[in-house]
Amino acid sequence: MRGYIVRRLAQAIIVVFGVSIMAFGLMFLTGDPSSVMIGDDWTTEQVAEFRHRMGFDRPWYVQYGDFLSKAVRGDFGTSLRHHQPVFELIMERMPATLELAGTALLISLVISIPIGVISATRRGTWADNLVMLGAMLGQSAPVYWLGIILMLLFAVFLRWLPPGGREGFASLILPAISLASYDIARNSRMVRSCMLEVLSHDYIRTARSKGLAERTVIYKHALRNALIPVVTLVGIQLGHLLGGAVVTESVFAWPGVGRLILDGISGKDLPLVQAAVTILAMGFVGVNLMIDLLYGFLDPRVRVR
Amino acid sequence: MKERLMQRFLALTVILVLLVGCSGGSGTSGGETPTGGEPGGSPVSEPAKPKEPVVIVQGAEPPTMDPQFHESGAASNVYSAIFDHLVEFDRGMVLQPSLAESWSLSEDELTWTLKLRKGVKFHNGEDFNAKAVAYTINRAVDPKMIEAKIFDPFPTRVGLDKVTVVDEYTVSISTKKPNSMFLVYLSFVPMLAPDYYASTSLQDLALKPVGTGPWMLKEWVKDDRIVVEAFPDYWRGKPEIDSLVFRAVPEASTRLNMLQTGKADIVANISPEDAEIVKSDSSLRLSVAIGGRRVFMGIPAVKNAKYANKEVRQALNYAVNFDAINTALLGSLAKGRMQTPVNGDFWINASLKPYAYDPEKAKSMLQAANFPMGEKITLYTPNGRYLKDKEMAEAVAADLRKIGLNVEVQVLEWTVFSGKLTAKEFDDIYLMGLGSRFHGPEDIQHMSNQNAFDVTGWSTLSPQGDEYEKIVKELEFVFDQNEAKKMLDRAQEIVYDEAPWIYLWKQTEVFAVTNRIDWEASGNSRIALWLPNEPSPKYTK
Repeated sequence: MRGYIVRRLAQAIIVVFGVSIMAFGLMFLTGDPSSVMIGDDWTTEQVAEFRHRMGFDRPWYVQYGDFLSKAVRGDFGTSLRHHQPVFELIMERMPATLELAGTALLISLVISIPIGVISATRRGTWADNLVMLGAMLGQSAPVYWLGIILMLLFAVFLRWLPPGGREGFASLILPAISLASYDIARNSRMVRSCMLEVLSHDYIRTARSKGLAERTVIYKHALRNALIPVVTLVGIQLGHLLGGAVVTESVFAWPGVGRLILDGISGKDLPLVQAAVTILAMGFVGVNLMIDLLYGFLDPRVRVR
Repeated sequence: MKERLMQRFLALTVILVLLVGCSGGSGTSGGETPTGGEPGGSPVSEPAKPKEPVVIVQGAEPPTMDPQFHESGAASNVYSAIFDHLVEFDRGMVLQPSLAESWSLSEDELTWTLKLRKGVKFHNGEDFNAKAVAYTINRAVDPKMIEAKIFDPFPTRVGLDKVTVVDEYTVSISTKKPNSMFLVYLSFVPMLAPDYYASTSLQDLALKPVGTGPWMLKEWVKDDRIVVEAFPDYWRGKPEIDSLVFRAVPEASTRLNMLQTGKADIVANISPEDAEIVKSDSSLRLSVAIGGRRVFMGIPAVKNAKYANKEVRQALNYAVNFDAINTALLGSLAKGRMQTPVNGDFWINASLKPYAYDPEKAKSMLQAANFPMGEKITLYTPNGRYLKDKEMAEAVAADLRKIGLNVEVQVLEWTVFSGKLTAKEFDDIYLMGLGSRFHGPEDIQHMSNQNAFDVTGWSTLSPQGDEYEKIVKELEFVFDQNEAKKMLDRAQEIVYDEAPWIYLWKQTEVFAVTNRIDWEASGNSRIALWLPNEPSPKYTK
């Protein structure tokens, strides 16, 4: 078991290191930040002086090494544009992101599981077709488009909800629904297909032949098994949502982490993007590592792979 | 295993509920309800509430509240509410006294002596005086601040020598060389409270600004809202609007929706299509500023030898049907095509007329210059950086194709575009916009080989290039406006003839405003809230 933990830990460190070097490399390739920081009237001479003063003229490995040596000591650096510690900037926006991501995930689960079950148990009926049609639409409608349509309908025409910002529960509804739409569609299809598969198993026939109520068969025997792959999917989905729902946050002016990173990219805030991507990767890898270790603990076969 | 998974699923749900519950509390922090105005589209049925804050919605917010560490349009709109400057532009883009009441220049043209306004207080009660001016300007060259990556370009721009406190309300600022643009650059230096800034950590200063401006910061919820409230001891009197809220909304359609639903009072960057929606709403109006941002297509004459001949560059100008672009894309916002990079009635060389659309002439000029007609031309453009930039590039490409050129448009993301620009890497035509302070001698510099954003390099090729570069350099030292104007007229003639750009337009800035306030856009693209020599903006109902 110890060998397994060490192996997985080493892999996790390599992944985080790889992500951080990629984030740095990609940002570095688009040119140094001075190009978006300077004014229209600057001379080439002034730009050169500015680049030197900011340290942008140092070789990439020196700049990356600088970041890495501080990061391993827990110092993710200071944002070039905000002049605040990057870690604080991210944590400041985390509640808004958690609120939106968590609500979207809840909405997607609360809606997708029942309709997936209904669809599977009424396979081929109008209800099933309707659900599948809705799922197809939900998966194919871009979040960006859906967000604007929902905003026009509920904020501009009906005036029921605010069009953007983060001011209480009402302002959460539209962005959470737009963000959840894809997952509702995907999860309900997933629940449906898993249910259909499970329902064809022998033990379901056995349960029915024992005279159990159909409700018990569906919810106690079938759904529990059908949910196994869904749970795995939900874990990954949560990771994605926490990474920042960039598009939704931008459309609805939601002050979350995704927008911070997006602004950082467009402002070439190298320390901010570098640290944010690394921290998010650490979160993602951390969750995965814990799940893997848990599997290894629960199922001895995993350890020897 | 199944049960364990079911338990994990339930645990995950519980965690989510808790997370949402925990984070939900901060969503309503501050208790601010920055709503205002009547719902759009319907007649006003109940009286507006004049105490509700005026909400200004723009695409971004300042990343820091320390104005010497950042410069951008969205930020300066917020800073202008909180900070004052020694001199400020009025509605007609002419510099007026503000915290400096008067100024004089020494005979050797190296030292500016400014008489300061008395009785001005900072938001924290500190007095504004010569010490404050000296502190603010010296802060930008303080080695510790430079180490901390201070941004303020004023000392570099003017070639600062030293700042001297003459007496409590007199300060002199010396430059190493005479600089005729000194006051223009000075108008961008916000005055800081010296004791507060000297004794507070940079991290706190990035969050808590103290200026002498008409409003002071009350609340900042990052990426959501910045609330400022009227400063009761403001030297021009307390502003009539008690509270302003700046909101950062990246998406243009959301900004418009906020305006229509009474959640915004001033929205910038209204597109021609959205302008029609605003016009049809009786609770809203449009406010148009001259703008002055020069939008053009740079022709890299050095990097790409086929553009080295000025006749080729002139021909490309003749090939573009700007009037059609204006009607089709810009909702006829443009008064006409740009003929000179210079802004302002005083500075513009009125004898120059915009290049006319003449495709036949363009074609014959290119053929006469042996231009390789079939060779591929790439038009690089950013997308969404300037009004209809990509669409304009596509329209220009279509015009160039009409005269038999082989043109494709390549859209680049702004960070990539700006990187290529400042590295002077473009080897083909690129669409670009340059801001303006409506100061002719500065406007004309943008075509100089010394400018960080000039990729054309035309002046190094042309026999007229030396004369132009000489004028640009000398203009820095010419303080007599009429003499400067004469020199500028000549420089404009040269760049008109050399056509280093495909001239497009000076971008008009359109704002949408609710009828409950009397604010009007001023000359440039910034949201100047309270202009010199004008009364405070106020509620109309």
